[in-house]
Order: sequence, then C-alpha cells, then structure tokens
Amino acid sequence: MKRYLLITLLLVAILTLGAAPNQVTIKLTTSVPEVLVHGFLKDGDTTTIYAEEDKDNAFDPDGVEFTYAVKTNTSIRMTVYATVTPFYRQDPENPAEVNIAQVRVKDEGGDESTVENTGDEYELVTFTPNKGGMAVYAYTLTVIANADEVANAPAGDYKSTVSIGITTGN
Amino acid sequence: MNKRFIAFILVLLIAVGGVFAEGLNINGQPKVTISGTIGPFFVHGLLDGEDNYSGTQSIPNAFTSPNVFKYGFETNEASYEITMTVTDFLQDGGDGVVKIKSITANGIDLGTPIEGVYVLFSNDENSFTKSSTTITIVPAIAANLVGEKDHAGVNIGDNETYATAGNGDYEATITFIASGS
Repeated sequence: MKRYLLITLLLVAILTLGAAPNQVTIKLTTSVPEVLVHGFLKDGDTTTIYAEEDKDNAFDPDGVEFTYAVKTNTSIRMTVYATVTPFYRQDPENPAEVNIAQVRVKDEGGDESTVENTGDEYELVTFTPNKGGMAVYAYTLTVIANADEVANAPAGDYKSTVSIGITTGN
Repeated sequence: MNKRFIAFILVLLIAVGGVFAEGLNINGQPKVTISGTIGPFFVHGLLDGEDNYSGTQSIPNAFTSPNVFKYGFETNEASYEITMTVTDFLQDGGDGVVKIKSITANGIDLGTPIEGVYVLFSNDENSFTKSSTTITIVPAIAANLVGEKDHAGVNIGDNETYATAGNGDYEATITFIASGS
C-alpha cells in the first residue's frame, strides 16, 4: 500500500514538473531623454553645434552672417532671444563704440525679417519643433552695424558679443 | 520600527520624484563674437563746395583780387597735425620776388611761422573730425611796405613788392601736409 502511495506521489510530482512553463519573459523598459542643444553651425556642417563662434568683417554694409541652430527631439514650443552688445573699440584708454542698426533672421525656408529690439533683447524666433525625432532647426542671423556711426567712429578694432538664450513652454 | 521604515520610503520616493521632475536641460547661452575694423583715413584738400576736396587749385590775378580759398579735411585718426608752407611770389623765368605781407585763417592772423611752417590743425582727440578754414593771402602790394616785415618776419626788400618788382608772371605756392597716427 505504501508502495502505491509512493508511486502516486512520484507521478504527481512528474506531472507537476511537466506543467511548468517552458518560456520566460523579461520586459526591458527605458525612456529617450529630452534633448535640446543650441549653438552655431560652421562651414556648412549641420551635425556639430558649437557653443562659440567668431566672425570678422562686421562693418560690411550688408552686416555679418552666422548660422544659429537648435537640435532637439522635443516638440516643446520655444522662444529664442539674443542680447547684442554695441561694438566696443578694443582700446581701453580710448574707448568708443558703434551701435547695432539691425538684426535680421532668416529661416530654413528663406523667409527673412528684421527683428525688433525690445529693451536689451532681440526676440529672434518662436517655434514648435515639428520634424519628429531628433532634428536640427537652423536660422541665419545677420547683425548690421550703424553705418553712420561707423563712418564717424575713430579708427580701430571693434568687437560685439551676441549671446543667445532660449526659453521653452511659452 | 515600521514608522521609521515608512518615513524612509516616503523620503526616498520624494527624492526620486524630484529627479524625474527636473526640467529640460539646455546648454547655456552660446555666444558669437563679431569683430570689425575701422581703418584710418585722412581726406583733405581745397574745397570748392561743402565736401569736394581738390588736390590743386589755381587763383589768377593774385595781385589785383583777393586770394581767398578754403582748406578742409576729415579724418578718424586719433592724432594728426596739418601744416602749411607758403612760398613768396616767384617770377616765372626770372629771379624776381614779391613778398607776402600777411596770412589769415578765418580772419585771424597766423603770426610768424616756425621755421617756415604754420601748424593749422592738430588734435589728440579720439574721434572723427571734420573741419575747414578759410585762408587769405595778402601780397605786399604797396611800395611803402619796403622795409617792413613780411608774414614770416623777414624784411621786405626794395624790389619785393608788387609796386616795385620787375614785370612778369609771378606764382606763389601754398602746400598743406597732413600727418596722422
């Protein structure tokens, strides 16, 4: 009798093992972080965004051009603004300055407009990224010095700094 | 013990929640430095209009009509000096001389030049400058000027006035030299 009971227990154990699942599943979950990098494109390269840029010949009557770009995978509405200092003569003992006459911005479609100066800032562009995924949104900025002041300024080397900020969600 | 554990879990959850609640990270404010150079320039000459600078000018009949002309310049150089030299009226093809009695700029006698040179303008200011002056040259016309001083402080000789000089064509040259830095 005990023998039958032992056999029965063995059969139950074997059947139980056979009913165990033959595959296991693991779920891997993660997230793609929001990325927003902005800066300048150089030499036609649209892959690298630089935090700094230097441009010469700023007193050309047509101004000086540089390419500003935002690289992002978000679709957050954002506003890009710039603060632009006057051109300061690089001679501390004999200071002089030339003011900015105009800041212009041109989008990738070629539409160009003059940017109004609001206080110390120029509100360059407001846009919502819509290309899907990671994409670069580039704008050509032009800074034009005041030609009359250039004509009447003392000779020398002058520099202006354009700092670009960005705010999101507005 | 259970209360401490619950408190620990709550603090942990808040901390983790804070990390995930952090806003979009933006890489600061990129900057572009734009540079320009204003080269020095110096324009000067004899003005026949407001802004027309001429390198040469001739005034005929210098002994019978006023010798008045306007000299001007504009520059963005920080320092400069403009000097003027004036010759006597020298006879063309001869050695006759007619002296110049006086020279004025904007009606003010220029006095005696230093080693023959008048300093008309000088400046150390750091700015664009545009200026002009009207020069009047007065020849020694009358004979009674013989023995008097000419504009340079030199005695006028017997044959060195219009009234006492030999006949012929005479010409005086006024030269302006500008130097800057």
